[in-house]
Amino acid sequence: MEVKSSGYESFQRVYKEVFPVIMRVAYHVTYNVDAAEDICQEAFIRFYNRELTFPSVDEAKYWLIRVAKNLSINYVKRKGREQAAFDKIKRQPLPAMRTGEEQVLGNETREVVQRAIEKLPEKLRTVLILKEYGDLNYREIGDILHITESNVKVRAHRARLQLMKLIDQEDIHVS
Amino acid sequence: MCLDDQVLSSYIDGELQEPWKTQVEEHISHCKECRERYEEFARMDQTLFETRLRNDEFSMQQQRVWKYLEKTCMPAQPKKFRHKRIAFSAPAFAAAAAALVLLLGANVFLLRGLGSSGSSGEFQIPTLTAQSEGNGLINGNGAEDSLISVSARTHITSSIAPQELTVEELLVLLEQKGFEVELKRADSSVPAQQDLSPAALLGAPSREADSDEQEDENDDEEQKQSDGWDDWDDE
Repeated sequence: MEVKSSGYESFQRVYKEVFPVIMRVAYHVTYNVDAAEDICQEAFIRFYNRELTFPSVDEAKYWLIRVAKNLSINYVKRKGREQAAFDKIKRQPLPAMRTGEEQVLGNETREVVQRAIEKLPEKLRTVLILKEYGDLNYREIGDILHITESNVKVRAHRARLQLMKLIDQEDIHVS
Repeated sequence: MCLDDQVLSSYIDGELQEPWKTQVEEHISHCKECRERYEEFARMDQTLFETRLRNDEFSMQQQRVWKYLEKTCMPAQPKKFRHKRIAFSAPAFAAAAAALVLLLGANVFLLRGLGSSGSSGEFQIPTLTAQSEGNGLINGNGAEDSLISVSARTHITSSIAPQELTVEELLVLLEQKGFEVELKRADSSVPAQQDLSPAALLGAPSREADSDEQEDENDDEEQKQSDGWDDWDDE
């Protein structure tokens, strides 16, 4: 069923179905609930204002995920640059956790996983987050990232291996 | 031969096709080494799943962003008529439009009369003209989608300017005046002119505009709209 991004009914339907997905993706890239909320809002504003037509809700979802993913990565890069500049002035080492960022649940496992994911290279991290938190399959991830399905398969596997190592290291570090 | 990590990884992600899927399942059922590797992968996937942001942790954000988008991006949604059925045939539409014009005129007149000169004020019959796009009152072809505009001139007092109103605008005006209007398809066996007779039209229910009720109706609609989002948490 055709979806018009500026139509009230279809916008409402897409919002209800897609908001949870892009909120989770934005959160697991930024690990900041407030930033993720802003990113979702911006993505839906763009979606509405572009007056796009999609052949299905899924296609609209892929578009929104792509926008939210890019906004999230830009946010992380900007935060990283700001933090680096701040640390240079202060002559302090990078803190293990970004300060002032909201933790929804401060449990230990979450922190360990979060730190490990943050250490993954961007290419692997994006595939992992879309797969685990966006609930997308290899083909859908390939569509969103404009890469081949076999490339997604390779990245998903590498992300898994690296993450296992990083989590083991974090566990040792914590305990 | 033992399983490649890449194959195991695809299998865990549910991306391995048959017949390889069954072959992997058979292999890990009897190969301890591969089973342990599989379990290691599965444990990490479980950990990732457990640390995901749950829907109930951002339901507030979901509603807040929606309210913001509704306020800033979307044009005001047209209010829907409730408890009303609108006939589609052109004669019926023309008759209905004429009736509405008369009702509106009568209502405005009544209010004016009561407001300006109290209960002793004399009733003046407003002069009304109703036209369909065809000649005269009735559009002869009876096409369902024919556009009908009704021009209403109210000579109730000199302060009311002649108004050009569409049927929909008339319905909105009537709604605002507090009328409950029910339109039905005109019986084809009855000549349309009969429906338009003043006696029939003036026999229709009318009551004074009640601004409080109008506000109540608006509240109801807003309530309905927000209710629609309350089921988010359950999904």
